[in-house]
Amino acid sequence: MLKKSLLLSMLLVLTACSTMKDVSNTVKDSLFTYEKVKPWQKGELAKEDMQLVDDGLMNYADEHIYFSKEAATGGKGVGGGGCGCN
Amino acid sequence: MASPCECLIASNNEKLARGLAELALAEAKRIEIKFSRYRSDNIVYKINHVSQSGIDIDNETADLLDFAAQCYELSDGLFDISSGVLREVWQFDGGNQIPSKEEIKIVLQRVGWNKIQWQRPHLAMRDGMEIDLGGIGKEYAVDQVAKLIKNHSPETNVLVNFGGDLVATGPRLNGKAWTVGVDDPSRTGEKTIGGVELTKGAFATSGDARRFLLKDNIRYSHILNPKTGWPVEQAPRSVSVMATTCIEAGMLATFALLQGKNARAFLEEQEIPFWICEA
Amino acid sequence: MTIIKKKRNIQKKLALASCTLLSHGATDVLAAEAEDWAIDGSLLHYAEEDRITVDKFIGSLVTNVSESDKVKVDLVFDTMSGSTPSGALDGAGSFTTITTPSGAGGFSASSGSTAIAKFDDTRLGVSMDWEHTKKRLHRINYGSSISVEKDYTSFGLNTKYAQDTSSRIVTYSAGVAVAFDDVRRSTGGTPEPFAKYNEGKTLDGGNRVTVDTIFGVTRILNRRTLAQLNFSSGLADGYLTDPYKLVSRTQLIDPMDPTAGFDEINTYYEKRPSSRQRNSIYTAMAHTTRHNNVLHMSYRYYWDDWEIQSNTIDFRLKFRYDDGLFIEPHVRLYDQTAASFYTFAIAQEEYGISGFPEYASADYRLDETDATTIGVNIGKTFPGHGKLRVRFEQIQWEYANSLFDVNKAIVLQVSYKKLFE
Repeated sequence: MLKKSLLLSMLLVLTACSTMKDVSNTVKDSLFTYEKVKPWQKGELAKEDMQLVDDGLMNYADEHIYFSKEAATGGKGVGGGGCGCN
Repeated sequence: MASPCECLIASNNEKLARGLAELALAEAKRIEIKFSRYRSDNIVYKINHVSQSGIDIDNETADLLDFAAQCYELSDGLFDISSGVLREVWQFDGGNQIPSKEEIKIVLQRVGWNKIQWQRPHLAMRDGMEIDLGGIGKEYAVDQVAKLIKNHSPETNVLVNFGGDLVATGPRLNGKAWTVGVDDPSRTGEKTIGGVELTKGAFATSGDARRFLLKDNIRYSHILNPKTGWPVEQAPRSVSVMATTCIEAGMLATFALLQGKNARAFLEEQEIPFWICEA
Repeated sequence: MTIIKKKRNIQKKLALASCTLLSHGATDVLAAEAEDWAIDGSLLHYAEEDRITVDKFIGSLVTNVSESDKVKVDLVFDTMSGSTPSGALDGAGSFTTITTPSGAGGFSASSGSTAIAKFDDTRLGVSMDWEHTKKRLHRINYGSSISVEKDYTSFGLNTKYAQDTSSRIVTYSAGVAVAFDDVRRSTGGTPEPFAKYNEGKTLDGGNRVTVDTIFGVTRILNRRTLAQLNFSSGLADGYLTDPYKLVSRTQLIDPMDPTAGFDEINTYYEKRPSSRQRNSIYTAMAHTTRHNNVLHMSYRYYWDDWEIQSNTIDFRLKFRYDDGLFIEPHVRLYDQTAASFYTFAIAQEEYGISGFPEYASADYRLDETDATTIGVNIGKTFPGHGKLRVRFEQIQWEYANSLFDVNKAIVLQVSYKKLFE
């Protein structure tokens, strides 16, 4: 429990590495700004870092680890091969 | 670009057109900033001010240097991007100051693409030498802008015109061609000597209409022969060429001017559409 | 006077030079996808404290076969060794049922005990995916996968359909996957459920079929934000028991005093239901901040008919630097409730000497669990020479009602990706 709250607060600090203003800006810019983005405005979105799964191998490794160690599975997609560990 | 630049967009969608225009402007500015010889913060400045050991060049500039090298070969050394330093002794302001043979001889030591070591990606040249991409930059910008617009909106045709060097990527909305007027060099800005119908392709003009020196009734054109350091004799007043890309058209027009009185013969040899106003 | 040395037509050569210049001219970011091949490879080391170690090699190849077809081939090679809790409590109970807060576990099993099962296996898996763009805005994926190890074989097929709106702001997708698994012990067959350990019949290998479906919406919220919402549902049917796992029957030493400890009376093979229906709601977001860093966040709520409910939050912030370097801290928080038939042991006080609940498993992975992962991923792109990433993670699982309170693991993964024309 103590560990959890320690981590949660670290999370908050990590979010901006500085001020609450940064955190509120990030929240506003991401979840509360809506635009009809034009094709020529998609420069940022097209970057590899902005893929929801931006590193396929890391994602695969994590899914496999957590699939073998935890009860909950999936969410992101279906298929991709199983293993005998659950 | 030192000339009026425009972008004619064949579209009914104002928002789309504005967006494409913004793109075009950004790319034109980017190229201008990157290759202008008047700035002190770009690759051209670095190249011209670095020590004799030279500098490594980014891909885009390297491509332009490769192209300039090929043009040097194809023109038998008449097109030379290191010839810019000659402007130190020649000032084409309509006046009558012409340099002496001595002055030209001294400056010529710092001219010559063959004196430059260009082995991609490394460029090295002697102190005092300079490269100037002004002779390629504008036409390159026209082609790049047209390409960028085509990539973003393949169904939209445009005519990109930077100071008379232009390219059209397809017909207008009504299916018809763009009509381009060819400037009359003796009445520049006032009269055209003819018109051209362009559906897809490029058109470039080179000439001495606006820059020259006049002394003892002899007109010295601003087109200098980099081998002799003297203006090309009997260069045509203007040459216009049609080709697939603006850079090709621009180079052919420039090469033609450099041929002086043999410009017409040269152009006929190339088997492309051209217009020439001889001196 | 200048004369052309010889009459010649240079037009064609000039045209070629011009085309070369323009085809290599600086293109905008979106053209980065024009690369024809991408190869990505990873070496991974996973090590639990005193338990299992896994070393993995993962390789992935993606290629654009044509303008409308993309093919991906993945290869996985694992070696696993070490030991894992079997679920049994070994021998005399000289320990209490109250777990110690330090998480050190109140029990150390000797190598001969049934509480720890030794583990040694290698696995090979291959999967392929073909993405076909039927017509503009419509894509279909066809995929298949095979995984083979000593005691397990799996074969799966999957397909997904995705459609973009004309502005390409929203993508709707639907997918379904089917998997056929064959489970057995490495010594052959599967144990009779609830039979005593090392006694009882050996049954045939267990088969199971799993069908999973997913429906999702991905939406561009603004120039720098992308979000996704998925609903998944699946049904597994067949042999869902773990053929190695055990559950103990215990008896309190002093019926009046539970803290006095207990004895293990017997050890049996576990038994799980033969079907499992699972569901999840998953949402994720990718956002580029004003400082040009990339934030990835996701949340998943999961529930199934074994009465397990779970929450997962994942959070990454990628700090990007000029020379292609990035540093990405990562935090993941996870919790799950216990399965309805999860039990620490079968208590003789409840079931007598020989009675059983309908199902029972002491597999710690079905226990009420909290997990925390902290990690960092550091990488650098070398222009023209690929992208290197090194990742380190520390994971800790805490169990509410298992023999071992805590499981800690570290992950080290090194990956390298290169694109080719």
